[in-house]
Amino acid sequence: MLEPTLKLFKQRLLRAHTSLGIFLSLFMYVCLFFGIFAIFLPFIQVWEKPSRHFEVKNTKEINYSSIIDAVISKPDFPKNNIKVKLPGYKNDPALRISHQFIEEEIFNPSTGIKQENENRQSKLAFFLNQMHYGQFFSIFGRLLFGFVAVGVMFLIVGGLLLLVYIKFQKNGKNQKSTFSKLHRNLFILTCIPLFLITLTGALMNVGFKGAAPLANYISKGEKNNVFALLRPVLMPKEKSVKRENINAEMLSIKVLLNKAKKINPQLNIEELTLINWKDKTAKIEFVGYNPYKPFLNGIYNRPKIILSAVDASLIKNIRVLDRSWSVLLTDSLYFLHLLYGVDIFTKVFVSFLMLLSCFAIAFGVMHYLEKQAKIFDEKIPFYHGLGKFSLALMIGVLPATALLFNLQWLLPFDMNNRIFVQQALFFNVWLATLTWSFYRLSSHQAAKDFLYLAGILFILAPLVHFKSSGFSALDLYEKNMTSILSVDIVLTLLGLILFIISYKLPNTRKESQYFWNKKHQGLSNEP
Amino acid sequence: MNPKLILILSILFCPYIYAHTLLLNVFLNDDNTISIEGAFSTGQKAQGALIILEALSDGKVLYKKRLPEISELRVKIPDEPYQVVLDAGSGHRIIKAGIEAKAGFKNKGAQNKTSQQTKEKNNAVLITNIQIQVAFAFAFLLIILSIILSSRNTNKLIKELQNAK
Repeated sequence: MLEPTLKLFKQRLLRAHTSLGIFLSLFMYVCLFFGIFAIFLPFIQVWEKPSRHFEVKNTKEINYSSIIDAVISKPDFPKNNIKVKLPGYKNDPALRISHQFIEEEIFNPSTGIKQENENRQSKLAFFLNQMHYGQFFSIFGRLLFGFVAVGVMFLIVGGLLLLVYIKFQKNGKNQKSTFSKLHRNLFILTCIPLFLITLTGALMNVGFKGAAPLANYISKGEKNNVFALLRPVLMPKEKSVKRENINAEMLSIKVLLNKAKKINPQLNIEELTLINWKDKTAKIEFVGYNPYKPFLNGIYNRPKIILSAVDASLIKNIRVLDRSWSVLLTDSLYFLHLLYGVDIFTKVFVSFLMLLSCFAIAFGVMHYLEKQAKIFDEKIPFYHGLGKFSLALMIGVLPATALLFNLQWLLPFDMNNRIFVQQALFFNVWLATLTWSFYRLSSHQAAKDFLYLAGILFILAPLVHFKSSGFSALDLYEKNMTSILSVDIVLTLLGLILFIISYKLPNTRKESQYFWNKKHQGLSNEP
Repeated sequence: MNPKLILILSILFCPYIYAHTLLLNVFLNDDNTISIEGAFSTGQKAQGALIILEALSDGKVLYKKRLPEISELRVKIPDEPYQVVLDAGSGHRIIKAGIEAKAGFKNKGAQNKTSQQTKEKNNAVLITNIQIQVAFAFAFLLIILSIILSSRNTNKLIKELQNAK
């Protein structure tokens, strides 16, 4: 490239990166922030419901047949396509029985006692996940977050090009260069996983949703929803067998389950489907996840074993690699984003990377704001609308989210419009942080206030949980309810960390300049 | 609005209009019966969905059965005003007004009475509306307050700057 052209290219790339970055960073931060909670969704959705607070015992001893039989013997209950989710599926300790047109019934598998299902009164994990991918704001939110993901991919590629073409100062001695350095270094660490995650996120939000013109074109105007074309390939339906209406004795679920485990020992069986139950044609499908072939199964590719419920004879055994390459590819793409079936350490590692990305975005915004503040040259305090807005959005979300966790156990479960009240308070507190940001002249002071409040609320959330649920930390530990206890521990730790950060952070702009450049100014505490 | 933009937006959003929706159809037959059919918008049958005929007077269940494999039921028209409900579970209900027999309903008196269930539903809607209004009013107040505070602080800083000069 010629020298003037290269200079112009670098200049334009930097400007595009800055302007697009400032616009997208706030959305991307929200997406990543709630994404961290979404990674731990299976834990939160167990923590949030009183019905999941029971002693977890050895699942090998459970007598599934007696629980299932009692439910499906009801005259009103359909006899075909009954779904049974086994304890442990997505961390849920309950046994769940459902049908397409029946409200899910849940049971304590050890005692067989029916539990109150709070699905309509408790949607904390669901809400956090919806905030992650924009679904809370319906199709508009999904498309917006999808396009933000596309923009972020451009920012990542553009940022890497900038690193190649521009020689950034490595040892800058002011606050601005520290923010720039942190922004670059953190993104260098996280850019590859972040790129893969945003790519798959964009695919899920705009790839499928925005493919309507393509679907219309390839189906010659017959279909607009691309999923209607993909469904037969991704989720082919088993040929239905007509009910003969001849009553037959069913083998016990335990016997059938043991037979299925013998056929494919690698399969972690998670879900059962009872077809034509109590009829001569009855069969049972065992669907699960094969942890020995990660990336290739778990979402659309769900290995299954189909047995006759009358004599346990094998009807079909669909293994991971039996599906077409297109299904395997789709699953591997989804796996990168949804982290299906991975262990807790991988989840913690990915969430740590996403947390670093949040910091990287925040430092990018702070770098931009510091650049703007330079114009005032210390004569007057820097007061920028975007700064206040970013502060409320990025730090203000912490006390609002902490309040959400507290309200989960403070609001009575039989309260009318419980979910609406919880979410309305969340959004209003988040908005109130914007008001507070404008009220405080010093953004540093406002940030400390938010972190302090968030710290207290996050520490309080487990205490409220212990009090309202009637289970102390010791009870949870002794009764093997570790999924629930781990959420309480993480919330407490998060609260303590935020509390310490709020204490350590500088109060004024002058202190802040010293705080971020201690290395260059000695280790004295004098600002 | 630009017609091209309208076209692009309508193509983009049309899949959501034709999503996997459950539909309820009720037809009058010649023999004083009605045929009730449940199906998805994609043409898939709704076998297993619960059909309920509810009296309009007191919400009493007059008839209740799950849709068979053919996804259609033939039911005798009740003597009193009623509604046809397709209960798809998880609180998802599709309701259609019950068709009157050719000779009309024998027991018409109850037609205008509002059932206890409907009253409770109306009360719940009223409470929801009040809660929504309060939430939005509070949010609006916070935005106004933010603008006022922003303006106050800006003026304060301008004054400080002028004093410094």
